[in-house]
Amino acid sequence: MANMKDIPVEVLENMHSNLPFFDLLNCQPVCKRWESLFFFNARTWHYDGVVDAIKSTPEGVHRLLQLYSGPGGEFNTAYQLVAFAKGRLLPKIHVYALASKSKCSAEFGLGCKECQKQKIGGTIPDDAVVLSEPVVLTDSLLLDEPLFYHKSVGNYGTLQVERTEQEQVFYDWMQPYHISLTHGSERLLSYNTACDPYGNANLETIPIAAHFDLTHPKYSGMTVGEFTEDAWDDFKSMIWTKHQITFNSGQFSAVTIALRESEEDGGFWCWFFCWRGRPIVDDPASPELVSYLQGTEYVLKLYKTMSL
Amino acid sequence: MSQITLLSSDNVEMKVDKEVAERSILIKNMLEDVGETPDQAIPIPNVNEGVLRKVIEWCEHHRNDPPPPADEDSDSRKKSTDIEEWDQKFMQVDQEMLFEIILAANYLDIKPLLDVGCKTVANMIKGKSPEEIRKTFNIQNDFTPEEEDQIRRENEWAEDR
Repeated sequence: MANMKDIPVEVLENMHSNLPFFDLLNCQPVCKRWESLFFFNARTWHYDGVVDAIKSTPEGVHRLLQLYSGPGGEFNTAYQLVAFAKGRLLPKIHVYALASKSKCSAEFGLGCKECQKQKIGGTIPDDAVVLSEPVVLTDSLLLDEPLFYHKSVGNYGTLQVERTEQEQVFYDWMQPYHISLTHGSERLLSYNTACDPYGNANLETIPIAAHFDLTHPKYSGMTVGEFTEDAWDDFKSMIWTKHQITFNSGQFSAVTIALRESEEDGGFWCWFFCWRGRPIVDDPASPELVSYLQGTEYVLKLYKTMSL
Repeated sequence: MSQITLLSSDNVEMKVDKEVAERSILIKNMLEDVGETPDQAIPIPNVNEGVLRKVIEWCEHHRNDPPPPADEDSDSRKKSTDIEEWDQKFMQVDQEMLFEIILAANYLDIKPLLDVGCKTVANMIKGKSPEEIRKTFNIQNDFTPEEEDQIRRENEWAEDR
């Protein structure tokens, strides 16, 4: 009769790939066959990530995500590593982010507290910019996905929210954040989560308003379309890093972006309406969005579907 | 409903609905190659009667399931250890039979059954120490003490969690 020794490598791989990370880690010392099957790459990344995190690349992160993917499947973006590490499988591992010079896209490294201190304490290369501050995720209130909840009851301008206790915890936790993405000493982007397009605090979908300083040289010469793309990248860095909002991997997430010229300083107010797996505003002619956009001269509506 | 006959490795013939048998991509491709329902029994040389009956039982139960996507990375095969209740009960067999089913699913190319089998094994691994895993699956530890110690030191970072 058959036993584990008869199982072909590809089937064994299938078995192991269903395991959460720490269970997978326990498979490493079982026997040489099991070890050689899975942990050569993981261990390589482990060295890269923990001991030499500064050299880790987005590709390396992605590889890590592939290797470490537990229940729920592979992660598609480095941003999701944060949520992953934060809440589920790496609760004692600190995750920090380093912004690269040109695009302010975040690179993530895994490290223990001591590794992290070491990195932040002086070994960050000159061309790297600390993204706000090290993102230490171990004090999170959030423990599992889904991380971004809502239940819709609103209609006819009366927007109401029903939240479970867990949802409320998340919302309360998220509300006070006002975070700046720094690029050197310059502020590129700030956002807060406190209001919706109507100035109400409790929009059912918890929109996030982002204000971009378009006077920054980074944006000079960009078309509105280019800016929106770029702004979205920055926004993702911010929101994923700080709040660990994740979309189901493999799903398409729709994001509605509306830009309006700011009356105060000539910049653009940029509203992102995002929701796991579906657009918040399903219909481009949605009265909520249209009423917000009416009368604004500089408006760009994008219904953007992207694989995250 | 047309039927075909399968011949197990121990020469036992089993009649089965063609639709059910075609849960196996291997058999489905064979039938497509032949072009018509064969009169003779289709030999399944790697699968004995007991295992084949179990596999057919699974295919009967799942005969109306949508075909698995061809894309290996599809979400529908997303990794987890969640298993449907019926499948859980189906997999409540001794370890030898479990591996036989897995091997048969692999040979017959029945991906959903293979996935269920692999998840079942994953659930048996979950929460166990390396030593317990070895004991559960009768795996010999072929590391030297030095190698074991090396791995233990490498993984120390994950122990305090």
